[in-house]
Amino acid sequence: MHSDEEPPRRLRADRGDAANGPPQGPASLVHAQVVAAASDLERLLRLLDQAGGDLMRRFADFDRLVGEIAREAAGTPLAGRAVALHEALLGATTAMQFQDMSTQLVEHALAELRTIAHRLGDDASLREMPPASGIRSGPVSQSGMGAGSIDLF
Amino acid sequence: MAAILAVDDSASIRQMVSFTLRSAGHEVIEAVDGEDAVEKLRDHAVDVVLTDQNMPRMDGLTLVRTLRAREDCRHLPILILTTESSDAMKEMGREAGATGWLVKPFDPERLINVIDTVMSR
Repeated sequence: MHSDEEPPRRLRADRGDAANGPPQGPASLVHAQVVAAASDLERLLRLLDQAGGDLMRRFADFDRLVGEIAREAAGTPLAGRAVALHEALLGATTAMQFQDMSTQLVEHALAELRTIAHRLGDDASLREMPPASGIRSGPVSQSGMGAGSIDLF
Repeated sequence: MAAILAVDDSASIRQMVSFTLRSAGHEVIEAVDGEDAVEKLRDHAVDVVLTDQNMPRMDGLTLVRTLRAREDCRHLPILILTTESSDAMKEMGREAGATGWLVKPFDPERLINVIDTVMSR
């Protein structure tokens, strides 16, 4: 969760190169589309942060309540139910890591869009853009929420 | 029971790691990045470090190298828990002196088993 971090930096819709002004011609349309996509991703980041933060608070509340129930149910027939509740909560921890992974993916895509928007606003940078093969892949390669691999050295 | 230092800039991951390991009876100390981890280690003796890789200020690999340079941490189990899954990154982790490389998302039961395994080595 990244709720204690500063909000994502805004990408201004009218951004062009500071010295040369906004991009002109076909580049201006592409620039506007890139800025719009970046704006959508910024809103997605805020949604993930809000929803993820709320889920984590409720998870913590539920954990505390299950602990209280377990203590009160100790030695009674309900003790087994309390253990089952705790194990169910533990089973949710893999999926609950979605916020960290999805936030990293969105932040990476947003950074790429910011770079493209900046270069579209700067003809000199645009000419120096690396070929597609030179683009670094993101920090998250997983396409599902199944548990990841473990290597011990 | 072991004392485990959980290092991650994501509060949600720290919460999930803490919940999982405390469920297994371990004590968990949290740090938000590598520099914070180094500071926490001044005040806490830990049995295992479980750290993310991509963090502000000091990343996981730098933390591993920093701790391996210290006499008191030379044999401390240090596990990297990250979304990075490439063989090249894992090799960098091994060369830095990490004890293991775990790819997110983690399964709680397997994480507890790995902690037990590295503790018993």
